[in-house]
Amino acid sequence: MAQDFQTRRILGSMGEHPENIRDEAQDAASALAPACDYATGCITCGDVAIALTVLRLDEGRGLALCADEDGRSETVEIDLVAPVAPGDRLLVHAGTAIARLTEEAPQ
Amino acid sequence: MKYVDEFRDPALGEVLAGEILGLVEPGRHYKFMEVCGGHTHSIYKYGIDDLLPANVELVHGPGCPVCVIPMGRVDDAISLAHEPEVIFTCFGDMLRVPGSAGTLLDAKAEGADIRMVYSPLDALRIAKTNPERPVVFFAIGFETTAPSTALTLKRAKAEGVANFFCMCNHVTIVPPLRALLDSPDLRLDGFIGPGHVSTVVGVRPFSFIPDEYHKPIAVAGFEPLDVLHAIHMILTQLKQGRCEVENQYARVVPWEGNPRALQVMAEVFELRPHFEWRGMGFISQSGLKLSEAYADMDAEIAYSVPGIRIADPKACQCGEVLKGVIKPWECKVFGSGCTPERPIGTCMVSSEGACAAYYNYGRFAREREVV
Repeated sequence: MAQDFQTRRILGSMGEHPENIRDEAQDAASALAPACDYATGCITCGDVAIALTVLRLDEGRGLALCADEDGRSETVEIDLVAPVAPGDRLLVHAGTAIARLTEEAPQ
Repeated sequence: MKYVDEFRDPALGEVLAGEILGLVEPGRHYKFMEVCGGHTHSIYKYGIDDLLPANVELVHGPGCPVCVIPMGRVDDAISLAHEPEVIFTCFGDMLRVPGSAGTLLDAKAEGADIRMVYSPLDALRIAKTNPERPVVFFAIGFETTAPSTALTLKRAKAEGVANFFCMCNHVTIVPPLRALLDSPDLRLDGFIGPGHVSTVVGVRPFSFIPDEYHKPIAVAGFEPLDVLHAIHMILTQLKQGRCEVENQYARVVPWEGNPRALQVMAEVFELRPHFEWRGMGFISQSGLKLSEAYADMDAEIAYSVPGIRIADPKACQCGEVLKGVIKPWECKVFGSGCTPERPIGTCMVSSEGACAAYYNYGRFAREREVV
């Protein structure tokens, strides 16, 4: 399949790539701490999930803009917990909401 | 932070520690395994083992996905990253895992285009902004992370992103637990079950532990009170002669898990007949690969990878650490030849690895003891 891809690349899609190859992922990683940082450890590798609040929805793409308590935001895949609404709290791992959070204090 | 600080309350911790002391039988030694690397991290970070009676021992399990990656898979990843035009993407900790001839970071220094991503969705974004180049995502993790990869592959297919490939290293949690329970050199009294994996798979898959092996298990959260509470639950079961699956983390983990996540995983992945685990050898049906429907996005089909099995370095005892047979500090190279800055073994790479967690948080207490 890579050969097919290479063929397609040579045939047609050259020149469409942006000049600036600074990828959005790096921005996403640096905007949300703690994140993938080999000094403090990678939260994705460590099976860590973080609590985020839904700010707004992109229902067409099945994504939501979510933020942590310090206002750092990221785009989150919401397919596994849909439907969600602004204000909902989600448990997010590797950019994907894996559970809804219901707040509960220790007994 | 609301409902986080409460689960770190020192006063409640002291109450729980006191009750735990009342539950243990003097003269009996208790050995509990925390399956998940996140728990290992919490135990060292918050000094939870210092709050436990001397006869309650915590053993670290195989639940750090980076730690269980064998060297051969790292070599395969480096080989893929050196393919012409390829942009290779992976999570941060994987960059520092040693293969037989260096790490992905070394490969990056040699000119390979290797980029760190926080999520599979970030890797897909790179593919969409670089449509003329193949982008390979190195997928790693237990059932917590696998749905994220599955959803991203579905999204890539739906959006017609033809330059996105996945090297799948996802693993499942139940087969290695069975392998550990069948291991003759490890006798455990109970398990602290993995909290975030259970949000996906639910609590039910762990019922084989009490049903077939007659050990109690409590699925637990990651705050210090969560871990202490889980230990309390396991000790209570033992005292009452019970042996069942309990859910300490019910505020997050539904009994049945996340059915949608399981459905998406079943659609995108299928079980490999065998998958190699560092220090544990090949475990049947413990790894995932892309299903037939997604085979055109499988980097291992699109490119040839060496696929050679590489033996772990002789000095490294990650295998014994992963199986809980030895403690991190009992490894011959711990803290000398193997440090987080220059790791030999995988357990020293990820902050959730038992060796790195102990090196960062626990060694000072032992140094005091020695002095």
